[in-house]
Amino acid sequence: MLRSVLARGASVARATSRCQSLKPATVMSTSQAYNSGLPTETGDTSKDFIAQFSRPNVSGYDIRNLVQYMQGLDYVPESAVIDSMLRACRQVNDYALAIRILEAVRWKCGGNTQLYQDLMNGVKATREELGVLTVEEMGYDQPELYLKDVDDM
Amino acid sequence: MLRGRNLVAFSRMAAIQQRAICLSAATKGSVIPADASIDLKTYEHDNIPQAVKDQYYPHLGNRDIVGPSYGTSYDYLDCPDLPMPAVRWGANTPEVLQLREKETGDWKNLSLEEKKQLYRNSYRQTFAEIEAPTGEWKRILYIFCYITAAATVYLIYYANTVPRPSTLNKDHQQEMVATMLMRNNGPITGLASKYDFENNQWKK
Repeated sequence: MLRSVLARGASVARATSRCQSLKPATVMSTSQAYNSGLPTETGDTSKDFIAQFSRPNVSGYDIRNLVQYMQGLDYVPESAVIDSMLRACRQVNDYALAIRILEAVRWKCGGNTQLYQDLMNGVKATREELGVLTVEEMGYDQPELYLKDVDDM
Repeated sequence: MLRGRNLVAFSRMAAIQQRAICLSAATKGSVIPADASIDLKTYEHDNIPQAVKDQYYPHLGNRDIVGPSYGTSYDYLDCPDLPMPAVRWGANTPEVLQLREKETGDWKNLSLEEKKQLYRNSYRQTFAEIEAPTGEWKRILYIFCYITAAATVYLIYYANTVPRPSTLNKDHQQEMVATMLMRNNGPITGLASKYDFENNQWKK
């Protein structure tokens, strides 16, 4: 009787120690499984985005991919990130993309017009240097054209 | 706007993928005629021959594929959640290409009209136009009013034409109570227990 209790106890102790030794390894593999190759890996999202946008061989596809991803985050880019985005657009010679990014930022700011104004003031120098108008200067803060909804045709 | 947003979760995962389009001979070679002079290889998005585009993305015509796909193909969608459509809205006509050539120079030399045209060549609607109110609530409101009015008219007609059931008649209800008392219905806690049969009145 006593011997069987001891034997069971030993196996339980062995299993417990194995679980404990597995624990840290499991956590580490989980954090690596969600590594998507996109920013937010170092913990400093803005820095990562700037590094991605400032790559010398950045393409229009990369910019779109990153902005699309950024739009899904609970995150509003700061002035330095918008600055690097505009410069990346200049690099790939896509003016429409720059305006679209500013519109996306404006949309992310939501009703917080003060935040949007601060961001636009922060990138004022870059905008003037590159010749990028704001959304308001383009006249895109109000609807310009009426286009029929494709679902109503 | 709902129709755009339910694509979101799906596309976020898909958008992270593919850098270039892969045409593999093993999977798709059978649909290409033997004499077609199309290279079976991997193309960068900005460098796809028109023949290949016509073969695999016939809905695009002469449009550039510029961004990540929302799902399985390269489509255009205007949605604030997904600000970057996978293709340009405008086809590559000579005027568009000429303007794009000018775009490579200093942007300060572009006039406002040219800037707007550049935007419209790439995108169909601005965010303000996507988010503009459609006035749909008025249609919903008048449909609601029509249904309410129709129901009211029907109720008035029904109340004035269809006879009420006899069980709603006061006399009939009195008779029912009398019948139940005669049957000694509920002598302990029910109706009959409340009635004093000896003095022929309700118990006080």
